[in-house]
Amino acid sequence: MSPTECTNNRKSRASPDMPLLEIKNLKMDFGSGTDALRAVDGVSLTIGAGETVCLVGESGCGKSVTALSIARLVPAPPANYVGGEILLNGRDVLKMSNGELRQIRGGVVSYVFQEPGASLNPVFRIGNQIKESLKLHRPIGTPASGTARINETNTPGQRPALQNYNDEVIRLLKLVGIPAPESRIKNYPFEMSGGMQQRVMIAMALASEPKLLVADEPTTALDVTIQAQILELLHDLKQRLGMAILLITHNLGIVGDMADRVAVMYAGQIVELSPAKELLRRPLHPYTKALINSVPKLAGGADRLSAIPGNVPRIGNFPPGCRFAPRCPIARPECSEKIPELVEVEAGRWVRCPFWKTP
Amino acid sequence: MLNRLLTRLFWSAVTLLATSVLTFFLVNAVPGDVARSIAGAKASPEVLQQVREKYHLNDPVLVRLGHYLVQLARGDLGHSFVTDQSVSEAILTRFPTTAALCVTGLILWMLAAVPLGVLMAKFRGSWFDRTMLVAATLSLSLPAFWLARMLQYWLAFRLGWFPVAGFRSFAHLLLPAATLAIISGGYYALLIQANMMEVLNAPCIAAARAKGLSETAILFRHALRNALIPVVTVLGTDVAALLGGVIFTENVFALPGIGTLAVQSVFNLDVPMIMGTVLFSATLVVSVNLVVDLLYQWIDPRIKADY
Repeated sequence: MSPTECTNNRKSRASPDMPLLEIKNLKMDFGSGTDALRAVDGVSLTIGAGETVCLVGESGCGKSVTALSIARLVPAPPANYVGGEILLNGRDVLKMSNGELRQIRGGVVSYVFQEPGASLNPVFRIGNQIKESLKLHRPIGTPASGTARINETNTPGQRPALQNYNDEVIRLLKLVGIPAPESRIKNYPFEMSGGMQQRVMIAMALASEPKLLVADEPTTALDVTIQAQILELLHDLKQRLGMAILLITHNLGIVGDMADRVAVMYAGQIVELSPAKELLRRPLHPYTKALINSVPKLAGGADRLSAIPGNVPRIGNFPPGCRFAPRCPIARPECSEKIPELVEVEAGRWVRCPFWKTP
Repeated sequence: MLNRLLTRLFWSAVTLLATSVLTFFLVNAVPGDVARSIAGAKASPEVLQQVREKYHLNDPVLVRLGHYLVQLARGDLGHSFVTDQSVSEAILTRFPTTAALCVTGLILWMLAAVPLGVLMAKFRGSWFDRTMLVAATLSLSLPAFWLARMLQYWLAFRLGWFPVAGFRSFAHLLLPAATLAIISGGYYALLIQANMMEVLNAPCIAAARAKGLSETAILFRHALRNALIPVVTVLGTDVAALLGGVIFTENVFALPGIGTLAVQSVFNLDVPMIMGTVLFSATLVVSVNLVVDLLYQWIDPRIKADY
C-alpha cells in the first residue's frame, strides 16, 4: 500500500456517528459522449448502521442501478459514473481498485436479487455456493469477519473463528428457516421451490456477515404467501443481526411493514425522502401522493383503480424542468422551466417540489 | 438410471448392426473384382476361380451377409484377404497409435478452444476478439488433408521443427494432433464464446460477482461450467468428425493407425479389413456418445432429474 493510500485510509476511517452508507449527488450515465443517457441524476442517500431504507419507484426509474452502484456492480461500460461519491464506511466505492471492490462485495454489502431461481448457479450444490461466500470472506481460522480491514467498526474477535464450513452452512440455512438443512446442503437449486431458493440466496448473502443487505425486489418473483414469509424473515434477521437493509421495491405495501425511511425515485431522481410512517400517512410530493392513491383499497368500495395518467418518461427522454410535471395534477407552467431542488421542508422530510403544500 | 443405460446399450447394438449391414452392401457395390485384387492382375482364370471358391465370392449376396453376421456374432471379424492376418489383431495393434493421436488432438483443442472461447467472450468486440473470430472461421473452413499437408511442408520439411512423418516418438504426434486440434478447435472456440456470452448475462453471474468472487473464478468456474453444457452435447457427435480427420492426418503423416489401415484396405479391396475398420470406428463413436451422455449428467445435474 502506498503512503498516500495509508493517509487516505486514516482520514476516512469510520467514526461512530458516520453513516454506514452515504451516497452523495451520484450521477451515472449509460454510454458516454453524445450517446450518454443519464440513468441516475444527482441521487443522495444515507443509510445508518442497522437502519432499513426503502427505495421505491416504477420500473426504469433508476432504483436498481443506484442500489447496484453501492458495490459498483453495474457493468462499466456501459455504465459511466460522471459525478458524486458513494461512501461506504467512509471510503469512496467509485475510487476503489478491483481488489478492494471484491472485499466490500459480500464483505460489507451483500445482495439478494429478484429471481432466486436464476440468481443461484444451476450447476452447483447450494451448500457449495454458500460455502464459497464463507471461503471468500470468513476463511477457516480467521477470527470474526474476514472484512476487518475495510469493515473497521467491527471489533475483531467478537465471534469465535470458523472451525468447519459445513457446520456454518447448516447454521446459516437454519437461520433463514430452511427445514432439515443437513440434507438440503446437497441439493441443487432446481430441486427447491422459489421461496426456499430465496432463503438460500439470503443465507448466502448473510454468510459473509455484511453490514448492509441490499434486497432488490426480493419478493417480486414469488407468490403472495411466500412474499410475506420472506419479508418477515428479512425483518426478523435485521432485528437479530443488526444489519442495515436497503430494500428496493415498487410495492408500497411493503414499505409500512419494513422501512424506517423511504426514498421515492422518479426518472433518475429522488423526489421525496421521508420517515416511512409519515410518508404513508401524509405524502408530500404529488408523485408520492399519486402512487399511494393508486394502491387498490379493499375498504371504501372504490369502483375504479386510480392510475397515474401518462407514462414514465424513458431514459434520455426526460421532460425539461420537473420530470413529473407532464403527469402532475398540480403542475404550473413554471414547473417545466427548472428542475426543482430536493428541499428539507420539515424535520427529516425532503421534497423535490416547491408547490408541495398545494392540496 | 440403470434402465436408461440398458436402453442406450440396446440402441447402440442396433446402430452397430445397421452399420455392419450397410457397410456390407456398400463394399459389395464397389466396382472391381475382389478375386483379381487378391490373386494379382496376371492370375489365370483357374486361380481366380479357386480364390472365389475359397472366399465364397460366388455365393449369393444374402448368403454371404448371413455368413458375415454369424461370424460377427462369434466376435470374429475374419481374416485379411491380402495378408491373411486376423482383422481384429490388425486393428488392435494399430489402435494405440490412433488413440494416442486422438487424445493428443483432443487435449490440444481443449487447451486452445476453452481459453480462447472464454477470453473472446470476456473481451467481446476487442481487436483480440475480432482477430480470433477471423482465425476461428478460417480454421473451421480448412480441409483436414490440406492443412495437414501445409503443416507438414512448412513446419516439418522447410523449418524442420517437427518430424516429417512416421511414428517413432511423441514428437511425431504433435503435427497430426495439431491438425485435428485446429480443424475442430476453431469451431469450438466460437461455440464456447457464444454460450459464454449468454451465460455471462445471467443473473447468477451478477450474483457471483456480488459475492466478491474474482473475475477469473466467475469466468472459469461459474460461467464456463454452464457454457460447456451445450458444447458437451455437440462433442459427442463430433467425435465422428474427429475420426474422419484421423483418416486424412494419419495418411499424410504416415502414422500406422486405423486411418492408414482403412485406406490401405480400400485400395487393396480387402473386404474383411474394410468392414472391420468401419465397424470398429462405429463402435468407437457409439461408445464415446455413451460416455458423453454420462458426462453431460455430471456437468448439468438437472439432466439426471429427467431420468
